[in-house]
Amino acid sequence: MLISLKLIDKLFLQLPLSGGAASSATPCWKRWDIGKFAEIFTRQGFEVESRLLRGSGFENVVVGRINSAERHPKADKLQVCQVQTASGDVRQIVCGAANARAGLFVAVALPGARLPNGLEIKISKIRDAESCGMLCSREELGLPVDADRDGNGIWELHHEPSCGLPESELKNLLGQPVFEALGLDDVVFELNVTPNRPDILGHEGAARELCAGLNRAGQGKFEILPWKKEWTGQVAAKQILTEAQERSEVQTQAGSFRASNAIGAPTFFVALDDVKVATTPAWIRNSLEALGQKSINSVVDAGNLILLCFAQPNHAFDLAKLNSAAHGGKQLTLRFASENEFFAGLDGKERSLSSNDCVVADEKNVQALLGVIGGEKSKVSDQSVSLVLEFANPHPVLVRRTSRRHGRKTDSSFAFEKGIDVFRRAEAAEKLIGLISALQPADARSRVKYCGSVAALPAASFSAEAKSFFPDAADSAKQLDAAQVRPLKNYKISYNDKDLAVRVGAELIPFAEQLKILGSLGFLTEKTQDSAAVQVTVPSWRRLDVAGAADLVEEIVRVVGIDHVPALPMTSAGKVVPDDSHLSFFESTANRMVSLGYHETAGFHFMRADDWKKLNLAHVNVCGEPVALLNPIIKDEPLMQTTLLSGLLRKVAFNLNYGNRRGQLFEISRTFQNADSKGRRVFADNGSGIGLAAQLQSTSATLAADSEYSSSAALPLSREATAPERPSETPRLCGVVFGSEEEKEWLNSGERDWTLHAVAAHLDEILSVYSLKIELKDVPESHPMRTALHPGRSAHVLVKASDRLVPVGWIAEFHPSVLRNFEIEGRCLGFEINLATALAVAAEVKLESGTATAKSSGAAPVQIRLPMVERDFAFLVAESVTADKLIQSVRTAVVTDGLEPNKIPARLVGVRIFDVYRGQGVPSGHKSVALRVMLLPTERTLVEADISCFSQAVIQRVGRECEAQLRG
Amino acid sequence: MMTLSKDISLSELLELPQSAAASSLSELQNLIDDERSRCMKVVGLQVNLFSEAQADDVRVRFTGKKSPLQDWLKALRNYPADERKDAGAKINQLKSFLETEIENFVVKCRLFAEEKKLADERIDLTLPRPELRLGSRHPVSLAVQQLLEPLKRLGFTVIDGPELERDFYNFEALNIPSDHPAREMQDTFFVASEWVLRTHTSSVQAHAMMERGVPLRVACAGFTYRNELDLTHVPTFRQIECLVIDKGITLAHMRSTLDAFFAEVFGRPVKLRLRSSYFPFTEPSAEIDVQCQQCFGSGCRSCKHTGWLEMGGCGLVNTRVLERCGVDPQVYSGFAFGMGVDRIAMSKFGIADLRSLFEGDVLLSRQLALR
Repeated sequence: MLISLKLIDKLFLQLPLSGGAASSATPCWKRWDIGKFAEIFTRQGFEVESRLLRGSGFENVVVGRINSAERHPKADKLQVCQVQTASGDVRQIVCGAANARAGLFVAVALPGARLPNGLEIKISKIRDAESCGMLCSREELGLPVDADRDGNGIWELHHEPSCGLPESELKNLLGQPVFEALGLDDVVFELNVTPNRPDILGHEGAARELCAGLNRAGQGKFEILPWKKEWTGQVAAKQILTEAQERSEVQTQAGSFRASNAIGAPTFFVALDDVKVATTPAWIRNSLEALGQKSINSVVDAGNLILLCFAQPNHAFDLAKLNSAAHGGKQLTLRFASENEFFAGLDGKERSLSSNDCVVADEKNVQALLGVIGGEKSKVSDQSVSLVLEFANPHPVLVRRTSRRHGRKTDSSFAFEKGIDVFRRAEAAEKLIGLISALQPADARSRVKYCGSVAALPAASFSAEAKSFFPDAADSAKQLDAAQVRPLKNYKISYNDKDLAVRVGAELIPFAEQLKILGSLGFLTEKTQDSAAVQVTVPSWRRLDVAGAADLVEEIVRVVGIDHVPALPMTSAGKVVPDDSHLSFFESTANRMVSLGYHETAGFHFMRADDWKKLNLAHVNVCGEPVALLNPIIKDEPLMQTTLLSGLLRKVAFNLNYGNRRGQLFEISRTFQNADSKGRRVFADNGSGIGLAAQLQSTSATLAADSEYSSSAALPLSREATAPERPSETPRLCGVVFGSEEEKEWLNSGERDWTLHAVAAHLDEILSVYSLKIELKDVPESHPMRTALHPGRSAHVLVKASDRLVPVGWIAEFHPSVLRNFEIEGRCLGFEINLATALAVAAEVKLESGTATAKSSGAAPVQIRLPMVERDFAFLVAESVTADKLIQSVRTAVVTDGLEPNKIPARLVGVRIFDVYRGQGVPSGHKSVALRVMLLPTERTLVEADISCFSQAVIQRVGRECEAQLRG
Repeated sequence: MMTLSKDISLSELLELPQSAAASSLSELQNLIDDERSRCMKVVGLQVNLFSEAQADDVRVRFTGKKSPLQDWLKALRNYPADERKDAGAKINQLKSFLETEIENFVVKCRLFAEEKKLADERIDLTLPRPELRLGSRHPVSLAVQQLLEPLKRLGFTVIDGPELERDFYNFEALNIPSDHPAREMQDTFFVASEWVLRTHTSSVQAHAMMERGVPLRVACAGFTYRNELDLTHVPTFRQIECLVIDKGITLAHMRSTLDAFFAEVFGRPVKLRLRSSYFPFTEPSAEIDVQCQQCFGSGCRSCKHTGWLEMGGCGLVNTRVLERCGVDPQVYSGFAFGMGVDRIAMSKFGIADLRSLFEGDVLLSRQLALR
């Protein structure tokens, strides 16, 4: 919101002069301590996002008078002017404007001046004639130009419609900067207005904040000035209200006028006759332009000024231009537009409307888009004589949607969206009528004629309660239509001297001071019988958000400065409540991934509609039905992710594109499904509105009940009663590795490719965070991701629960076609783990091992650290014998055949294959597998007999079970 | 000696005596003396004359199985009984002499050889060191942890909540009724009419109050979503939100907690500035500014010459929020504060484009991990 300090100073609050400044000092920012004003706004909750000093930088553009103008000897269109810029200072300036003539007061840009278009003025020669400056047009000074009012060519400073001054005054201003001399200087603050304060969308509201801040600063007593007397008196607000509700028709020179309403937005119209539209006085034009508005004519500008001052939107129609209705008179109707109805706006744009747009229409045409913009056909022109002024209270949401739909945000629509002060609509009408009247041209003298007001009320509510549609500020307790942003009912608040301390935790300021602040902000306080309490009446413009003592405390704290609240340590309850347990697991998981060399990445958690194709998957729902967004920001990413893989593969491609040839990436984030914990769909219309409903509903996920992608394998994240009916959110860990595990360096013999074994080792390590052991199985036919994976180099990852194996994810080298789809060259391996399942199984295992420990609690064995015993074996076996089988066989032999029956005091620590050899000396179809058995003696060192005992057991069992032959 | 070529002199020196067998004690004595002096000569030579193998030859020659010493020892039983004792004494004397000398000699040779070998083992340290494959946490994850740490010390329990959220928890419970202008503040991702991607972690406040009961001292960190994407906005970002509900909680408690929290975050007391603001779920509400830690308030690029960095928002929990979440505002009050973590991470790690945090660039990750 732009706020002009000059407008505030002129109409609402006499701004204090900064120390020693004269009230006539120019430019205006030298009169005021604007830093202090900005500080007050910011402290009180309206951050000053920018401040513009209007006229700053134009000090070298001064008032001058053309003493003589003669045709340039060498150019027909140029004139050589002698320009007086101060007494005795006459300079020659070449000018191309046709209206440059002797005696004219002009804006002279002196050498050194820099114009808004970047032009720097220098002494130069134009066709051999020296030119010591430039005569400027309004446009060249960055000011809006209206050809009708301002003409073409250079700015004629005496010309009143162009904000000029009489020549008698200009005479004394020669050499003065033009902006200051003509009063164009201003300070404009851009305030960040929070949504609870629509009153600050008007200068009066901003002035009130400043007033409270200045009073608090204690450098005098400040008050909001009353609206100028000469701008009132035509008709009283109360009369407008009463008439509006009682009359159904008013008579004007342009015929009778009626109004009707089909949308339930309380509205009244005021009809005026004898209007003489004039040019706007300079101060209004300057203020409007300082605030980025265009000045049109006295009526339109008066309406805009009422909006800028009081945040009271309004619109004036030229009654004569409306089409006559069946009853012979004029009629305006508030209604919904019909689909594709045509509307020509004031901004010159033609629009095709939607049936959700509210409009004001006459018998034939739409004359305004309600709350947003008026129509071209019925706009007020210089010839307008009879007007109707519209004061409607349309529904904020309808205005917002219409404004968005048509890409047109106006001050009016903005004010409606944020909520207007409905209690002051009639008062705004009164002020507008007064202002229009006051702005009549001096020669017209006769004031405008108030013809009367009519309300456009919804037919259904045309009854006694209709009175309440335009509440008088003094009229209390009546409710507004439910469709409105509804002022709070209770605007009498009792407030006592404890209310502040109990919330702030400190006295902060005395009670009397508190009441002063409330007074500055427009709150009325009445004494009660209790001397320590008062009754506070909330002013009408704050009734949208102030409802109780807490709100009043906020007002006081704002003005004093919330930064002044002292610090008081909390006394601790001394109660320790543990964190949600999964969080630390995820942290440990992430940290373990980092120690394994992975870089953590973050994504947006969206998925493209065709990612399933790129992943080579059967259909979009294969990992569960994705949740579709109604309003995706990235148009081709309309789905919430059901797997993290596509995002990570894109990151791999990104790295390869940027020349990072190898790397390890991971992400931990949630996947989402349109299914609850029991597998029921949650959003029936999932995907509709973005054209995906059919696709999402045509296939259904055929996930096994215990699949790691099943919606039941989610993490419960809330404890409300209906939590099981929420769409499932499942934390997953996805890791990918690309490039080689080790690049060729001078230290090694060559590059080492990533192997699935290496990545599986990472997985072992990760799941050990959860104290889980994994088992790798063939990826089942039914597994959703199977088609994305290399058929020979992939595995289903399961973890061991007490009595079963639970699937938690997969590990694989990716299918080359998937890598092609993601434009990844070279190999790429990865895995995805459902962390919710891992956690659940870990909890189960932990619980059991806990009970087991409790049961066997007796003499816990004392750990004696004896040296580890290792024994190596090399077996010749057929290729078909898997490592797993061999190891199982060895383990059984050691434990069941060796240690246990012979009571050898040792524990099997591990069996580890350290070499697999094929080649010379090994018959084809066979391999030589070397493995090491590691035993930890528990009581004493082992003797040769012990060792040979289990060695024999190994040789025999492995020989028998694996048809293995011990190699020498 | 020195002039002799080492091979010749050595082979001469190591030559076995003509006959090891002695016919008499006195001859034995002579032979022993010869052997002793031969040994003295060999071990007296400079060690650099011997290779390791040669040193071993010397050992074998004097104390090995086929050495004269062993012969004499073996032949001891051939001596007549009366001479045996004497002869034994002589031979054993020689044995202990030889063993000591040779042991010393061998050690000396080994040490010498080792020294020589080490001197030849010089490497080129200017060759590149091997590349380590270290991973890294995401900068925002690090920031989250660094912010949670002091909160935990301040007694906050870290909790989690859903990201797909019912309209009620994200808006209604937080005093943002449908069509309230506050909904303009955030462009929300809608999933269905009553479901959104949570626009703030404040939704977890509502869950906590309704499901965990009061008093409460909780913090929630997590992903939040808003419908915006440009240089300084991404649709998915992280927030941290803290809530305290107890009897008699005031603004002064909030101030104290904020002071303590930010002092911990920055590792030293920092100047805070609270500015009044508006959030529907708190009243009064304020923005939290921390004095810029680059320029300490004098104005620099990183604070856009304001001297302050915006950290987040705070306020007393609106009584309407308490009521909607089933907490009796007559008995309990509370405060909440929250902040966007991505922004904090950006300024901490000096990241210019927020979107670069979502590219997964290995090179950038490695660089950031070092800061």
